[in-house]
Amino acid sequence: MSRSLSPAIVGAGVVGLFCLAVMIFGDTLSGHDHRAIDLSMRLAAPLAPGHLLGTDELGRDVLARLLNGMRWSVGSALCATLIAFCIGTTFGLAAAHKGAWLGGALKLLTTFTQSFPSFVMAVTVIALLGDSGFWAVTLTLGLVTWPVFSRVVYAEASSLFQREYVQAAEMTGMSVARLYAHHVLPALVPTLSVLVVFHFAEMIVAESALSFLGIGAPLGAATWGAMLSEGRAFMLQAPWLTLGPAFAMVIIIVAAHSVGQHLRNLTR
Amino acid sequence: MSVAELNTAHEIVLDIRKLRLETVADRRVLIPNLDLTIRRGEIVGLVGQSGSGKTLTCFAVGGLVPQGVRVAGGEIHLEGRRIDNLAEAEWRAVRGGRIGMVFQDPLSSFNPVKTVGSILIESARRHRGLDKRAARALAVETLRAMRLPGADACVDAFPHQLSGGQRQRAMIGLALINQPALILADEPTTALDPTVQLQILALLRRQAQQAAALMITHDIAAAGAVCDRIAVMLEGEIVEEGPTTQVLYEPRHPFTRSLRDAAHLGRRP
Repeated sequence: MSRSLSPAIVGAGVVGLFCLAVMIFGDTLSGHDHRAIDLSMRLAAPLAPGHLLGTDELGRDVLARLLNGMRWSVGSALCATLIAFCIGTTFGLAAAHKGAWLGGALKLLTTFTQSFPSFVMAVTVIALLGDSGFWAVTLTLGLVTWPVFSRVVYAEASSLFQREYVQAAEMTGMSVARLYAHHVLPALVPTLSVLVVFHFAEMIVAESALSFLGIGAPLGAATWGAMLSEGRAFMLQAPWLTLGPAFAMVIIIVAAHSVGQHLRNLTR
Repeated sequence: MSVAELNTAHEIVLDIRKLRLETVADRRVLIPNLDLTIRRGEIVGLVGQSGSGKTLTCFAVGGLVPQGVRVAGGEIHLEGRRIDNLAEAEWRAVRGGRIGMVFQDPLSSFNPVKTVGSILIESARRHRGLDKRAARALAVETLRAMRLPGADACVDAFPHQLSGGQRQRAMIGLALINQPALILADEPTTALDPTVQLQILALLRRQAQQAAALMITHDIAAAGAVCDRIAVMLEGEIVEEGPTTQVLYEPRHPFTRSLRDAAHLGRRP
């Protein structure tokens, strides 16, 4: 176990702090409103006066739109991860304890949810909701991806319940709630923290993919997926429209993965 | 009932009557009909092969039959009170309070990331309603009574920092911290080396004087060293039961003889 900080983890920390700042201040950091249209400055290249990363076909500042997209993507991915984590962990723990019919029912539900390709299911759920907005996307992503957590938690917790020390604790008259709190949950923390970080990265991609297809963010919203989708038309003329969100996504995901990797090494 | 009978009835700590265990799925009988009585101050050895139902009996007494197994009949009485039909909340007061259990492998029976003392303190606090400080003092005192050298330091030690013998002493301390009426010991010496085995058996012998103990073992020699009575189990049934000397030296059942002879074989150089 190394206690020294690798450059990757320092970089991830910087990205994390930057994320936090963006979550708080949003596009005001760029000095522009991401919706402000300036037809005199259409498709300005990066480093144009006043526009660090250039502008799009309506003269909107790319940096402002990227920051707004970050707020949307990171916020959505965080909330979706939290929802999936809460549902999955609760179900996994409930199934792991020797409740006969409840455990069976939850396992069935997990299998049922997992048997659908999650992306197709997300598209269907959003179509059924008939409303694309932040919470529709976030809820859908959370509700579709929780089996990842319930599977892992179920497997880990059931094996923990077989451990002699958990049985020994039960033989001292501990209640189930206390068994969980004292002996099961603390042992799950390393696995869960790694899983949460990787799941977050996955949610970033999933949310952008939905927005790219036009079923995530509402029309005209500045999100990374929507920017990629709109920028495609100007790929050769103005590559910065697609490169910006693409790089932003790569940076976030690499940062999340290096945090996940670091956590995994720590717990090994 | 005469006074003498009342007294003897009172002295009976554990009374298992016609206990029957089956699998839930296909109702296969694991233990058809088991009777066993243990009196105060007595250690009864339950001896048999692996899979004969010794450990199952032990867990049934503790109210924790494994998943897929159920108590299909019979009664279990502890200190004159029927316990096999208790609600879960009442069971929790019995487990750790009136029944203490010693497990086979003390290394895996302590949570590796918790101090040995924290487990004892937790149990003492719950069953006796002590505050943290008093529970800690009791834990130290209990470990000292288990003849654990440096009990003060051992309270804050993690399981891996103790030796096998120290861990098993701490385990017995955990079983005894709330002064239970019954000690269940499931293969308490199997995971220990021979010299430590003898010390642990002596400790159990000493501690069982105020309580009653059921010792599960496949080692008939170990049972012979500490038990007052021995019950020999074969395929879910007790085939022979009697005072230790009788079972060891005048076994009636051929299986008992083969167990004894096997123990002798194992011990000859």
